[in-house]
Amino acid sequence: MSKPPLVPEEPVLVDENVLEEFHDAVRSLGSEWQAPSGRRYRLELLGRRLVVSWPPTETLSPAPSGDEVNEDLLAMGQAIYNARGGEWAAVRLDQLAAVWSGNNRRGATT
Amino acid sequence: MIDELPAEVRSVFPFAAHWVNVSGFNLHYVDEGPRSSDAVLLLHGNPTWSFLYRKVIPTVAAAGLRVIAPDFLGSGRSDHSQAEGEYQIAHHIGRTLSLLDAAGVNRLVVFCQDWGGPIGMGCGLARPGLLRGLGLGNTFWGEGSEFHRRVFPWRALHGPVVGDVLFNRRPVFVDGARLGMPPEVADDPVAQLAYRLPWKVHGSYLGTLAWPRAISLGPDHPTQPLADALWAALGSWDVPVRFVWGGADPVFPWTEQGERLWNRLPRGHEAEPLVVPDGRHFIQEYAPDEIAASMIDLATEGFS
Repeated sequence: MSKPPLVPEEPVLVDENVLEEFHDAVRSLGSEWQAPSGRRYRLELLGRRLVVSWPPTETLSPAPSGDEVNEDLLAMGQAIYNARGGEWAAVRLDQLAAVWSGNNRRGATT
Repeated sequence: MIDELPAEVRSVFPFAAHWVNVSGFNLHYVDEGPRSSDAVLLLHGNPTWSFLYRKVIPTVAAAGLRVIAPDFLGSGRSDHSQAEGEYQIAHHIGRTLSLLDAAGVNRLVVFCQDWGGPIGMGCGLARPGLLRGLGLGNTFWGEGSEFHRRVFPWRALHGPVVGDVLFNRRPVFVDGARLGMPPEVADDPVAQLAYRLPWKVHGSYLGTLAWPRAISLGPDHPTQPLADALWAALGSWDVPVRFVWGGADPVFPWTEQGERLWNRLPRGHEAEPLVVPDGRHFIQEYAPDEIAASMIDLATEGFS
């Protein structure tokens, strides 16, 4: 019987500068969060440093592509914004990314 | 650091590379014209590099002036750091002063755009007598504009997790920079290759994320003391001033940011501001000749 594949030990994402106004929202997701894809992520917030990693018990078979992980992370970001509430909860990240990608050239600039 | 540029980029940015090591980081700068202790300094912002001044540099140098255009840490040909703390604005100011010392510059006139403003003006604040003239275009003093205070489309771009995904894992911000440029640059493959090159070579866009997070939005923000000190100092700076400003920039509108600076600087009204109606954020791409002429004027006046 084959062993389940090991998840990479390196973090999926490290955010070194999470502003205090978001700390409660990040903590509200818990120490483990499940994306709509079903994949689970571990969250550790130490001071302003947020580390997102794979739980040791997670099995990644088949291994997700970078785009799939990005979709999970954007969903995580959306969950944080929703937990933050107010105008943050009204943000739709897919729309935001489209504006900044130039799909709406009149919509924004840097 | 980027030792060699692709041939097509060199064809439009043919300047010799100069290097200085500051605190372990290799910083690149353009240094054209005569070797003088007086220099015209051209400062870029996020997410660009000295390439932004490729059309300004030759005109200023041809006027017999020394012109220096650095790439800040995390930008252009300079080294990148993976530690966000290295990108604090005070560190950028300190490294820029070290670069000027290494280049033997004692007096300067500076054109500041975007983050070039707080850094360039911060150099003047840190070293009285250094700054002899101030050129400003689509910039600020460290406090966020109304654009920066809105969640959509700005603050939501660099919040927790989202910032790393959209700035770093997907270079949405770098790709979006072309929206602040005229169509002939936004659609020019060589220019866009050059603007994206630093991030592709270094394999990380993280440096572009630190800048927006350094914009102060309140009294507790780490950049606010610098913004307060700059705003206080600007009220008494006895230096000639020129404005070349993009009038179609939603980030730093002339009527919100430009006019405040124009009115704040004691000698601001000595010259009429040039507001380019269709100019957006990267004013260097709209009015390079006007910027060069303004800097030559400032040098003539400031170094006399």
